[in-house]
Amino acid sequence: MSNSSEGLWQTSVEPFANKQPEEAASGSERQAVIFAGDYLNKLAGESLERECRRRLSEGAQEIIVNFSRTEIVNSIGISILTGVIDAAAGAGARVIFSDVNEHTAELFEMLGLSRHVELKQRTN
Amino acid sequence: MSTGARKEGLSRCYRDNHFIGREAVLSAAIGYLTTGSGGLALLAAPGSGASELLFRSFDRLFFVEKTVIPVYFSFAGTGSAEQLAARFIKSLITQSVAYLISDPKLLRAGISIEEALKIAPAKEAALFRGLWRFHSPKFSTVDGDAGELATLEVLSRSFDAAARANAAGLKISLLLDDVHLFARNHGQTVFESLFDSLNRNGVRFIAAGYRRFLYNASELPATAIAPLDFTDSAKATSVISNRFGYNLSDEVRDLVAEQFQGDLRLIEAFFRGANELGKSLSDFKNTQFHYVEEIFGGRCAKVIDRRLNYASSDPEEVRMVLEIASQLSESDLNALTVESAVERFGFGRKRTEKLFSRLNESEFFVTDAGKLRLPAGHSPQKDRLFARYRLEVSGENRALLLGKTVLRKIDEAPGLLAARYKAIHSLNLCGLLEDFSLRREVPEALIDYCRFAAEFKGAPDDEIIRETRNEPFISLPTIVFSTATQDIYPPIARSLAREKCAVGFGFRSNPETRSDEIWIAAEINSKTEIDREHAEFWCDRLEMAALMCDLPEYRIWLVATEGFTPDALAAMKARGAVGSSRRQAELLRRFLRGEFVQPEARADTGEHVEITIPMDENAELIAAGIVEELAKKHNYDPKSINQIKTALIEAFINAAEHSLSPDRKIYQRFDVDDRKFTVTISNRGIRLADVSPAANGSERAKRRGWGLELMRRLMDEVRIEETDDGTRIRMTKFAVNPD
Repeated sequence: MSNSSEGLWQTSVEPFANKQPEEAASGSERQAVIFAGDYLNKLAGESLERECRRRLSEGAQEIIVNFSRTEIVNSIGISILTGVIDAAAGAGARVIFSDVNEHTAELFEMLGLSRHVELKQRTN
Repeated sequence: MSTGARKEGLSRCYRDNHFIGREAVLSAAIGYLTTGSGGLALLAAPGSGASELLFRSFDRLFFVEKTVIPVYFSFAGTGSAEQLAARFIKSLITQSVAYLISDPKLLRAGISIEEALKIAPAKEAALFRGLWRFHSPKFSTVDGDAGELATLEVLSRSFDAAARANAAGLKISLLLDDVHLFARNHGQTVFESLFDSLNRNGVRFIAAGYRRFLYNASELPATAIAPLDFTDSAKATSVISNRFGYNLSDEVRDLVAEQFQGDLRLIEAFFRGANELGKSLSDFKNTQFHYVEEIFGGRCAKVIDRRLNYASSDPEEVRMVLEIASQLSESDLNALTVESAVERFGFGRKRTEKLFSRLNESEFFVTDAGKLRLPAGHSPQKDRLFARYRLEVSGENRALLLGKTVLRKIDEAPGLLAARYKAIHSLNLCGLLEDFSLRREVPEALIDYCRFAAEFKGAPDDEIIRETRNEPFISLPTIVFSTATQDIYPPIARSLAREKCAVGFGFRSNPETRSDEIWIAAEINSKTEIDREHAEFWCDRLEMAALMCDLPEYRIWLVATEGFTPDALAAMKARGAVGSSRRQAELLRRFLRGEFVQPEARADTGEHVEITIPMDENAELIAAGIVEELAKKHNYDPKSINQIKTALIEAFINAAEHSLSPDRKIYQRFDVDDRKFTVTISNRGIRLADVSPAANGSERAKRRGWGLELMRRLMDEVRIEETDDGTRIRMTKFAVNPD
């Protein structure tokens, strides 16, 4: 990598695809596991929220958001997650954030999310 | 410029090559006359050397550059429009011929147009004949006294010759002097129309005239020359006096420079008059004696009276001017309104307003919100007006008045220079306050005497420069305008000289709010540390100024030569005032101007990367990737890397979401070494401080402000600055010590 004074910097970056949240097969009809994408930004967050609301409307009592594939979250994504928590609370459902990496856990802690949701950190 | 054989160009006053204080504007003028298009206004203070600038430009183009044909023309002198037009055509043709046949003697020979046409090169002779035939006013078809329209037609026809010559392949550049006289003699409308026409025709020209006239009268792009500052004025005085055979002592030289305030025309008149009369200028006594003689009726008086003639040549109006000058200087009245003048002197409002305007343009007076006042300080113009009043209006005995004036001027001379030397050695508080805008944060030790005295008093400069880097920093307001405090609160002048007390109008801003902050600064001379009593004395004075001027949020800053006692500092702190020593203020100035070497610039092992990324979907991940690579390379721990990446992403999306950037780009710079990683991210658009809070106030909307909080918590230092058209966020993460 060389220094460049200005202009668009061309570099190769591992593509972070905005994958749609996935629904995992679960033992209980009332439990939904939804995978967050590798970069939880606004688009991914809204998609995840839509899926969570859908599952809640179908009667899910427990929403597990799996962050095993998530490397980065931004504040917009986090703010959308609070919406998920609020929606679940409104439906009387429980929310778990699973496989959260250490850095993301730190962010959730800073912004107070860990007070409202059960966090299960990733074990490497 | 060649130092070779004696030239016969236009500039005959100063043969030396160096044009004191004017080399930069001379180069700019020549550049414009060589490659520019249309007109450039040269705004000049009276006597500041505009004509000499044009002469030198002419000579440079004629003898050295030789890429365009320079034509100099002055609008000085009376005469009808036809006479002016004829004079212009003749100048255009004769000077062009002089250039084309490389014979500078023609410039001063005063040859007739017929002679010029005879010796013109064959290739251009027909063109010149045509120009004379069709553009000369003697062939004008306009009847006699038909008003401004007729005048404009005559002059336009004449000046169009320049455009015609250009169209025929001659590259003419006009150097037009004394354009304020043109407007005065032939009307504002004619002036505006003629220069507009020249400009539209693409004729290359510089129009030099009184700055206060041209600034209001012309839409042309402009450059300005002001009277020389004291240092350059003293150099010019030496050069001019040498030309007339005088070898002045330093103190006499400085006295003359100070007396004439950089007015080169008057300085030359002074020495020319002394030379003609065989006067000695060996000491203050005989120098001041000659000065008074010059003001009473010598060459200097003639120059000043010619300038006054610009404002008015009507004896009744001139008498009015003399009375006004006397009244304003001797009474408590410091300004005169148009209404008062109309009532007192009986001239109509329009006539009085026109006179006020011309007096302002010729800088005998200053008009300020419709009021007329004398300029601050001393000047030969004022001395001449007062002398004329006492001689012509009061009818005082000339010899008696001259004697008294000489005694007074001799008595004043040392004080005149003392005031100048004090001004030179003052801190220039106005400039220092305005320098606050150069950097928002400064080491506290450079402004707080308490801290400085404890750690740095007595230390050499390089140690202070080195060690203050590690000191806590404090933020300063952005000062946008500063002025002498006596400009807003005249009574302060009784306590502090003009240059010793300044007020700076500024503001502080952060993402949440913006508040005005006004600093009132005073420089106090003292041989020892200022004690509590004296500190409170000065705080009282400045607080009074703030209260009387109704300044809402202000801070007092006292700068004392040797600083303050601890007691004084405590008292000042209780009043919210800041105290610094003179040495601190000087170091602060150096710091603000970047003369302290910044750590980033000395990072021998550091890397500096600048990138520009469009505000596209997920584009922030590109920047995050680069950050990761750089940080890994410099052995930053994974946790820090993640924190830097997240903070960067937050800054990026913040800009993308809120700025409404016109170019949709984010500019980033990464400075990284083994000690710290600094990310600077900037964008154009709505500034962060100006972004309105969410209108609906919903919880979700509030959560969207988490980005800033994350930045502050993840990084060790975050500074958010407003630029003129956007925001710059600078974030730093210090490397974790592995031990």
